[in-house]
Amino acid sequence: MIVRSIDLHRFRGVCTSLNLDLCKEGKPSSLIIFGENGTGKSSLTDAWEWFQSQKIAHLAREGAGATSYANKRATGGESYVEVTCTDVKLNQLRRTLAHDKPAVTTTSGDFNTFRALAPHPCQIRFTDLTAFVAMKKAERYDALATLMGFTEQVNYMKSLRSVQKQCGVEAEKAQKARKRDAEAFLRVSGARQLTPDAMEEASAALTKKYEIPPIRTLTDFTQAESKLECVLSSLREQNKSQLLVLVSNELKQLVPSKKIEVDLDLLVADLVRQRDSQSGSSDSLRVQLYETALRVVDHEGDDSRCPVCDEPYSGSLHQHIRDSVQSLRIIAQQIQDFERMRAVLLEEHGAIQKWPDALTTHAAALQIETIELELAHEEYNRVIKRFSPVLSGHVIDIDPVEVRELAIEYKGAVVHLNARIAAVQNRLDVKQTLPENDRAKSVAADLMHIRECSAALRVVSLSHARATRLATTHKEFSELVDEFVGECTDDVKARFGKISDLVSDFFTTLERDSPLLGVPTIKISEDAERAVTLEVEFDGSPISPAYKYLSESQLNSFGLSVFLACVRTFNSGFPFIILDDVVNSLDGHKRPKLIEILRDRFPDFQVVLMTHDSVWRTQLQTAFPQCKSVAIARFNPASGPVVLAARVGFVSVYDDLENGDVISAGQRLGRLIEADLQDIAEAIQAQVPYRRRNDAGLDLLLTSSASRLAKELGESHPSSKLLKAFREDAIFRNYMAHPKELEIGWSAREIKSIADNWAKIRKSLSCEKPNCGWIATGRIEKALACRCGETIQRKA
Amino acid sequence: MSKDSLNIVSHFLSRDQDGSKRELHQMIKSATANGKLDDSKLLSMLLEHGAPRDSEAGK
Repeated sequence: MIVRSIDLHRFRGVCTSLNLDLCKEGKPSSLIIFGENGTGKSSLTDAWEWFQSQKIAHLAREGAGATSYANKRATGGESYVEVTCTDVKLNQLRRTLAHDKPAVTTTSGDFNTFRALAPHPCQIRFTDLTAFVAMKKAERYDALATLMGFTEQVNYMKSLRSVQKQCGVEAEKAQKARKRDAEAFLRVSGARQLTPDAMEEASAALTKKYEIPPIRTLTDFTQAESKLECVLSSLREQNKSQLLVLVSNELKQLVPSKKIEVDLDLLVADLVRQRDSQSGSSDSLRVQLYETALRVVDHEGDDSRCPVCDEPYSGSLHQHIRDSVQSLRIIAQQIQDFERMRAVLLEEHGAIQKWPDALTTHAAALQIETIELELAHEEYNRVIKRFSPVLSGHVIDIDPVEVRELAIEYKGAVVHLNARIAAVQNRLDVKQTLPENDRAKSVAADLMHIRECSAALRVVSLSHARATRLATTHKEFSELVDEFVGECTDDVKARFGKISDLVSDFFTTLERDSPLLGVPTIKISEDAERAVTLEVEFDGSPISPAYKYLSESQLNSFGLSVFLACVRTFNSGFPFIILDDVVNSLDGHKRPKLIEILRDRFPDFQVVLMTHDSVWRTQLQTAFPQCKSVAIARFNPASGPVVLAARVGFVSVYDDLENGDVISAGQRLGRLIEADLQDIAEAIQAQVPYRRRNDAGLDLLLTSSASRLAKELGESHPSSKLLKAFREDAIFRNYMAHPKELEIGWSAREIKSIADNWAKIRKSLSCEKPNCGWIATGRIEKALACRCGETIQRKA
Repeated sequence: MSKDSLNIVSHFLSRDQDGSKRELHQMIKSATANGKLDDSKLLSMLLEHGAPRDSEAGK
């Protein structure tokens, strides 16, 4: 016995703390836990599973993860499960989870040693067994993996297979893409098939036309593409120089000089300045006169009025005339400048600009309209023609306002003309990007074809490379996976091999009374991984798969047998089992078989047996009187399961009597005697009359057993006499008539009398050694003997 | 996780592989943590491994 106690702190149904002491009289013991449904028994199983494996599988199947492990009311702290062991190396082990990070657990104690000693799950629930019923082969394999403790490697194998399958799907897609892309290339290129010879054949006309090497590869396509690009580029350049450039140059000639606008502006400014001058342009005529006056004045001396302009002057007359001459010279210079500017405007800029006839021809060849440009050009020339009438004549007759209007009109015409020139130039620019003649069009079409072929072949090349690489990757990966799966299968086979004899032993024991059912064998299908079948001998022949012949109860027997065989085989270093309500689907006659297995095959194991079935609890208590027994009285919402020490077997009858609870004592006594009589009747092969409801009752069991015992041992045998006296006892007969009726007022004395008498019979018909049992027929010839042979009763 | 289960997985991962499979084996290893395989990570690596190289595109 290895576990001293299991402590649950704020875990699952335990709100505060639950200390489950497995010690009896200071020593670890097996434990029978009785509790009705909903009292929190399974929290212990959950706690152990989490403690051992860090997860709770049945919760995970329902989608509940680590956040559901801590008690619902526990927040902001931690929950833990602590196991105290007798083993000095293990001593105290604790797994803890923090409520704010429930998926992360911490451990204290030597868990490595614990895992090495207990690689297999120690616990099993009824639900784990029932899972077998509706499973497919692969699911059953997984369930066995759980029972046998190789879930992780199975999960790893499933993950690898899943990846392998998806990789295979991708490889298949790549193959299809390659085929599709190849077909697209054949359509585009005209090649018969995807071979260098076929590509060469399909492109022969092109290669001949452009005198390029044969096209057999993607590189050849690329080189052909470059060649045709050069040819097309050359053709376009040629077209551009011959026509487009010509038209473009002709357009440039139409662009008016900016200098005309500048000169016009200067002219207007000059005219305005002259008009604003007081002296006016006529003063320039007097320059010569004043120069002559200067020479005269030098000879005739000064006077108060100027003899030339007849205006008074200050200072010397000579200086006055000199200043006047200087001013008149500036004016004369300005007039000269004006005249020169006007001459330029009239003679150079004012010339009519001739329309280039070639432009019309060339533009028409390029399919470019020039009508609007010609209109703008005519308007420009109309304005130019106005230069002469406006600017001709004596300067004094030229109207600056009219010149200014001419300048504005001219600028408008220039803007309009330039806009039309730009529009035609834009059309020329567009034309430059297009092949202009049939030769260029043909080359462009060939180039387009080469480009399409090249692109399609590049796609084929890529998809081919991808398909090839993925196929190789998938193949090599599959080989790796197969290798792992092979190891797993070998491992599982080895495990099955180790446990198969025990499974057969346990299953045969549990199903001993099942008609036609023989030895079971577990088999793994060689042709399908994760496929396990149970073969069973049925009516003398091996039947595979046996599942369709097995009842739910028999399947549960099988699952239970596998589990027990596994813990027996793999957990021998940690002999500890939790059986959580596993007999739910076992018929009454099978339950003693389980007791037999536990008693005979697991005497060195510490077993925690949980049940909500009071009859089964009593059977267990009777079969294992040395075991500790507790009862979960109720579930307290504030704390959790309330565990009380249970009164066991016949001792509990006397406890009830001492406590004055006669009714409880009477009811308990009836169940105990009935359970004993069932065992005795079976052991000595008493013939009990058939009843459809299979409810023999105390009277029939007692009568049949007494009769059989008298036959085996003789009526004078002390045991026969004891049983006969018990049966005929008036108190018992009265009790037997109403064993389960509460309203009957039994006295404590009566119940005690019956219990005392029955105790004598138990002592007479059973072995005193623990883990032995009733004397039975057939073990020794002409006698009734217990299993160990210590107690033998021969015929009197 | 049971020791035996771990042994099977770790034994598989620790084994030397031939040249062509070494890279794939390494991917499986790098996609494994605490005895559990990250399916999507491994598949992603396999598909990347199966993608054509630049040098293969022009052939």
